[in-house]
Amino acid sequence: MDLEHSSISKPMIMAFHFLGALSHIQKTTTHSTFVCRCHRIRCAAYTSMALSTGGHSAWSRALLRGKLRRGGLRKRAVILQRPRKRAVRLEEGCQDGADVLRRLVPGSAGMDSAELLDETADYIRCLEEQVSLMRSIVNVVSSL
Amino acid sequence: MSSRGRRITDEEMSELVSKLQSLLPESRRRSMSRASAAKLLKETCSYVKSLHREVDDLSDRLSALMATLDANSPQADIIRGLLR
Repeated sequence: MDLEHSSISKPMIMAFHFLGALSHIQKTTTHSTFVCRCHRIRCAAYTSMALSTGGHSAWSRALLRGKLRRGGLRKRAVILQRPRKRAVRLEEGCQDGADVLRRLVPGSAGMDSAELLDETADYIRCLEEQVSLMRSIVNVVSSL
Repeated sequence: MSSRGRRITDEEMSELVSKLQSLLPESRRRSMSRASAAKLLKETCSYVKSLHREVDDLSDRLSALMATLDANSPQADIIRGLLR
């Protein structure tokens, strides 16, 4: 097993960042509107997701770049500069689905189908972990 | 996109299909034993959209809970202690 990565697990890193952000939001939004707080919580969720992967995936880098650049978080695909190798093209029926997927997964606009699937798999896994983390927090807080 | 791209082989196609199927959770996978890549892509897209919706919904709930915490002092201190 890789020693340098085994000490702190990814879900723990995600929880650490998200809970820290929630604590900060709690302190600074006492007089804010519901919508404003909700937006900040959503941003915190996507940021902690991106931070927990350590920048290994294109979608996490795109999310963090977007956050740094605009001071907020928008789910917009960023076209990466990458060497154009001979891309794998899907048959006609699949192109629309692949394009929709490219709009959904941040940072995937310039990818060919093989890379797109790898990114999607990673993105889905992280989303599921984030959802599970948020559900646990909601359960804990609402049961008090 | 790139017009220089090569056509996909049958082997790559079936690899793609199995990869797509492995992305979906068990509950969605059950109903489609033999689905085409196009259908699987659509299913994957709708799954990602539903996960986005869940994040939004959970953010709403957390926001509402935090609002009630502000009003309710003793529990608010406990939560703040937990979150710190």
